Amino acid sequence: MKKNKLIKYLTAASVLLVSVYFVITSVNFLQPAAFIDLMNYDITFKNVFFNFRIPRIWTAFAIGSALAVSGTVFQALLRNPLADSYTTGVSGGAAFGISLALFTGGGSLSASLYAFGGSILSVVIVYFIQKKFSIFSNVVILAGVALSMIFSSAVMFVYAVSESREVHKAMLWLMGDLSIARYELLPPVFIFIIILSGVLLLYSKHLDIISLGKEYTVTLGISSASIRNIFFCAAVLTSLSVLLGGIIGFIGLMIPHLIRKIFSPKHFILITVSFFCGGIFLAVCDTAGKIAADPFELPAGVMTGFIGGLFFIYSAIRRKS
Amino acid sequence: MNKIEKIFPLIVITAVSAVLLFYARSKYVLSDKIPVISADARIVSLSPSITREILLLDMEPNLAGVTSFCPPLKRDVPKVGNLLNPNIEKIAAINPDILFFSEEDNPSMKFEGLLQSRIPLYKFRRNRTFEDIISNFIILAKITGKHETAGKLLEQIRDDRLKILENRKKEKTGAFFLSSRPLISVSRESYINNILADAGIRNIIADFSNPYPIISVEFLLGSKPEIIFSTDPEADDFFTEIYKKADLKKPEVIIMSPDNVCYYTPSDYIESLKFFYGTVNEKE
Repeated sequence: MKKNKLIKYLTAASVLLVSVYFVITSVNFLQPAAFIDLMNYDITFKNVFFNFRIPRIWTAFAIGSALAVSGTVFQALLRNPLADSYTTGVSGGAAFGISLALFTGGGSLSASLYAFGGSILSVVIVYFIQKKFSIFSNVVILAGVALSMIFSSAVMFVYAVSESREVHKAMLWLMGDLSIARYELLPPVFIFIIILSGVLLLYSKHLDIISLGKEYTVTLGISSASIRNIFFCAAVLTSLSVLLGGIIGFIGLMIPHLIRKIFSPKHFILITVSFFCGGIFLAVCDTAGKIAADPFELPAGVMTGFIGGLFFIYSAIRRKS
Repeated sequence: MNKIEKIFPLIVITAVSAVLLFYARSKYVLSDKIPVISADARIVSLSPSITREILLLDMEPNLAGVTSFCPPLKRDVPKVGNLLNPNIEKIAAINPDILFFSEEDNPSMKFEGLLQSRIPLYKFRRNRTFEDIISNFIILAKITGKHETAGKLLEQIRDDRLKILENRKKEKTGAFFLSSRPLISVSRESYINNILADAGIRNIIADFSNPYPIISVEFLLGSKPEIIFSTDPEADDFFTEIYKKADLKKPEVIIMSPDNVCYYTPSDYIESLKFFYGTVNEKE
């Protein structure tokens, strides 16, 4: 049993190391010596590495971390393994926000802010619904799905009357294209992501209890204020990720599942490991998207969709067998 | 502790919003100044039309990067993504002396990314009229120092256009469709409307604010165009079907090649104008 665990940890550590190396050397697997040579002698390579690659890796890391942590929390909070950071309709709200930004003729920065506003709006709506019915009710998930539908209809309406160029602009954003991320927003947003993940870590014992069900939650004295704060922290984490890089699916769904299987179902470990693994996973997906169809860039959201979808089919088949 | 816990969501949202608003200032502003480049400058063009203009100015050797939509070139020039989704890292790796792109076909979100990248760039304005196309071409000639080549070419093009304008016969109503399913047309905000007008065709879809509006079949049938042009090879079947269904006389449908009309260069303008004018007047 101990040996098995050791093998698991070693495999996970190797995958992480290879991933980090893959992301840093970016376009192809450069030998360390070749990489150092290029850094020393090729100014253009150095500029591209520090001015483009590094900020983008950090952006991907921040988004991935936020999504994985919020996914972990939503799965515990809603006690639904299929819940993820977008279950609360955050993506629909963000898409609606971007569509409004199109109407006002704003650039990517205002699109980010509108997206943040839209996602917070949907979180607030879902919050008031959960307040009426309790977080343990399926109504919360249903309300999130319904909100997403309403928002997507509103988005389609805007697309129907907008210029095709604007629609394409929004599509890139909705596909989670990190090449259009505004890197200047990264430092403050990343700090917020770390703070909110830290707060959720403080609530990890609460999450362990909440995931056991309503009776345990009530009996062991988890206050409704704590539940509300956990809900808001996770939702704001998702909004921050949307604000940075658009809508990127599956990370909040897949990473917690994997971590729970490999490491532990305890939320302190789950949140901590998900934070790092989610970040590294998105950085790898983004890098893979750059290589897969070179010279074209596949948005990171497309890559996570492919990998996440395949992962779930594999999991379903394995569980059945 | 209890009090803080109560107002915690409000604190979080207020703090995040305040910080975002503080950072929400675009630090990247593009200068309006027209740059001048050397004769051996390395150019990356993100617009197929600008690439064609560079070829018109005999500057093909200067091209260091183009999009996958650009016209075939004599030598192998690195591709830097496509028209709407250029690969910014790839462009930076080429380290060009200047990067050209047009407001006409590049989404502004990528444009902001390009501004962030600090690559020297020039953004050409949209082309709504013949004058806009000429003015953008003159700017390109100024940047590249190819005034003489441009001057000669423009003189010929202006003469050709003038001849057509002087010989124009009676006006016809018509429409131009880039696609039939959906019906993507052109309005007065597009340079194609200007070519139609020069050829003596009154565009029934001119009065839309969107340059390439999607219109309904009902609108088309109600507008009764006398002639329809389209670059969509399946357009003729589509229009035959809808006019038959509506029991109306089908207008003349001309399927044309997208080789010229989809590019906003002076020479493509005049070639398209000759085609439209020729088609309308042949039938007179």
